[in-house]
Amino acid sequence: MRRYLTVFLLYAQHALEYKARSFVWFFVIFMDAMIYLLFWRGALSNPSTTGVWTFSEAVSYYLLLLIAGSFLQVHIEEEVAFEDIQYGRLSQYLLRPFSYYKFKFFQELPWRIIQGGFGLLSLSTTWLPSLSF
Amino acid sequence: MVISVSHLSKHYQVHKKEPGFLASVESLFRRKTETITAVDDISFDIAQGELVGFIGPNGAGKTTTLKCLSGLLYPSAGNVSVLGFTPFERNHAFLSRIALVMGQKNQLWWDLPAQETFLLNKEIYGISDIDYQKHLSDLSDLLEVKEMMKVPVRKLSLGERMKMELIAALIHKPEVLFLDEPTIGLDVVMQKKMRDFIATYNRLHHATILLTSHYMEDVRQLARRIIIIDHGKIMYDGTLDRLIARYAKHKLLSVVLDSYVPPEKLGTIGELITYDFPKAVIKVKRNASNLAAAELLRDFPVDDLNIEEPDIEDVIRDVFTSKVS
Repeated sequence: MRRYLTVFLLYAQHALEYKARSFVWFFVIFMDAMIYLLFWRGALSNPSTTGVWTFSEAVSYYLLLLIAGSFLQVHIEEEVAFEDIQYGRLSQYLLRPFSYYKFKFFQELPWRIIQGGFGLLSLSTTWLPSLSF
Repeated sequence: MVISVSHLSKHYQVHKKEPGFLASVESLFRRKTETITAVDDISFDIAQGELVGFIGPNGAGKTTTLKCLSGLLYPSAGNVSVLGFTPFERNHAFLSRIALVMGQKNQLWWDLPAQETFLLNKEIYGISDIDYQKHLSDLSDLLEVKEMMKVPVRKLSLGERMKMELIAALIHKPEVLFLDEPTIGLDVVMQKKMRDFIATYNRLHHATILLTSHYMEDVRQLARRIIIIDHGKIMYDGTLDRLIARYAKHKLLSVVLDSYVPPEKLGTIGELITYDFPKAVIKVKRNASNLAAAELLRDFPVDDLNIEEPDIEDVIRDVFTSKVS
């Protein structure tokens, strides 16, 4: 039992050491929840619209949200924190005559396009069979 | 002067924490810090085309100085000028004319061939197609890696990767090159190839090079001038020959004997370092080495005799331990 406690306390120290990173991750989840809350606040303020929602409309809503998220949600915080800052890759960017922020933007862009593509694919495989020709 | 350093100092704040979970919680509210002086009031100048060895033990301040010179760190005090620029302003015109190669860090894409990184750097540095092709061809010929440029970096050996790192760092023909332990971890054959390449690049492009290395062979073969740094302070700045003449208090008589002589008798000449008949090495006082050699030739059955300087490692170790400035 003592060894489990030691491992737990060691990682607790690690988490405390990187408390700012923990906060960033909390903030990511918090912002996701805020977006949902904002949507439902708008929807519930008009009971006539929520009352007529069908199951397929709800599915469409979540699928569209997934695609939008795939295109727009960026998770470079770990790479910036771990690879660039903690392991010193930032030096390689700062030594080149090119903006670090622009580099990161264009680095992330292909991922958004590809992941958005996956979203579109999942939408088409879910929606297309339901369409009647 | 291409590089001018005047009274440069760099201090760091380092957090300290006692071991244990409770100490971690305590440090949330009350953090103990300590100021570390990595570089302490150093000054030196380097002219165009010079290849200078910058040596010192771990934690001496070598890498911190290189980082200040390349603009990665701003100085706590003092002035630094490289090619007329203030490095930490990281002006793009300045960055286009320098390169920093760190043996333990890399800029190559792990999963893609090294050529992709070269092409990226071509665009970043705005190199024309003709210049790029010519320079890449020259560098890959010199380093003998033409066939390896299309292989994913993860499939390359450490030595091949280091060669590719050098090409990526030199593709824009930097006028000033900071090399931080470029031969670290390489085998002796690859170390020699890297040294030859650095010397050739320095000669062909008249580039100014500041080289740090723990391998004294790198420094001995490449640098005419060396700067020794320890605890953030410069302990010596001058030629290797002058360092030996100034700090090496002994010379070594390397002798091959015709017939066996008891070690006690050889010990009368000086301190017998090794004796494996017919070879012996005797350490004698520097200013008496000629007399000792003459005595050896006169009184002993000598077949061959050489008067040698001590190992550069030993001399530098003496500098560190004696703290002579």
